[in-house]
Amino acid sequence: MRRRHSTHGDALVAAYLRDLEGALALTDPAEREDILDGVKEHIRAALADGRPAGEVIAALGPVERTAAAAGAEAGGEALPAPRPWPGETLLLAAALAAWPFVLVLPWVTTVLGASVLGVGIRRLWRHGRQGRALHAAVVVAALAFVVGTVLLIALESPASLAPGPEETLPGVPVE
Amino acid sequence: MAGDGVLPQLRKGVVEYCVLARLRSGPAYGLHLAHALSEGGVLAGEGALYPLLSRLRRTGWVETTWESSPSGPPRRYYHLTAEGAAALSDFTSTWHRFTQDVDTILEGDP
Repeated sequence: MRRRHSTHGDALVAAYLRDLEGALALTDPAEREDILDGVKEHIRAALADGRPAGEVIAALGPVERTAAAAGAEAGGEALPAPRPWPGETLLLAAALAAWPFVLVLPWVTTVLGASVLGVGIRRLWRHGRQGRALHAAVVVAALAFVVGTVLLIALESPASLAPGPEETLPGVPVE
Repeated sequence: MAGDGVLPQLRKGVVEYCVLARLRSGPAYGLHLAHALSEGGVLAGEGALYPLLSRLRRTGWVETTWESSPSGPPRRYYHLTAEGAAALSDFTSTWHRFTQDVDTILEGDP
């Protein structure tokens, strides 16, 4: 019996989320994902508190109302438009600055790449969708970190790059 | 009833500051915020909270962290930022002046 209720609740939640996704079809994709994630989390938390699925869905209200709220927010004047974070450009500059050192001082590239990557991911995690400069900074920093680290590992094992003094080519006499 | 048409209009431009005000005393997760605002009649439906939170987050007035929950999956907590607190402070002073002016007119004082 309990399983029957659970299956019915699962179907209700799935239908609601499908309807909500459809109602948000014209919303910016990143914003749509953010809203859907919030609603899914709301439902999970409410169900974990022991509330019946039907009650949770009813309290959320019609999907059209949620979609209308998204539309009103997108076109409304109540909040200022999201401003690009001033640090985005600085982070991108720092990520690009890591590259000139890649052949001479790869550790600088690795450390700078890791630092920019850490700050960028933390910013994205806490504030969601950001400007293109921040996304570019994260990608450039990730590449710098990977390439710098690979070069550092290669330099740490010189035997793998050049023959040692004991190594000779076959057929060449040792003096 | 006439009030049914008035309330949605009054909510516009106000609900987001109620969210910020609710976060002034400390971080809260979505379900908790939705209950608090719905019970007071500020929010029309709990689902309408999430477009608002998304926008507030991108504006930089709130930020989020994930924290474990004693019952169920980890929860996303919303925190008021310094920018959000400043916006709330501006709104609060404007709101008091505005409601005083409206009250004066509605009560018919000269």
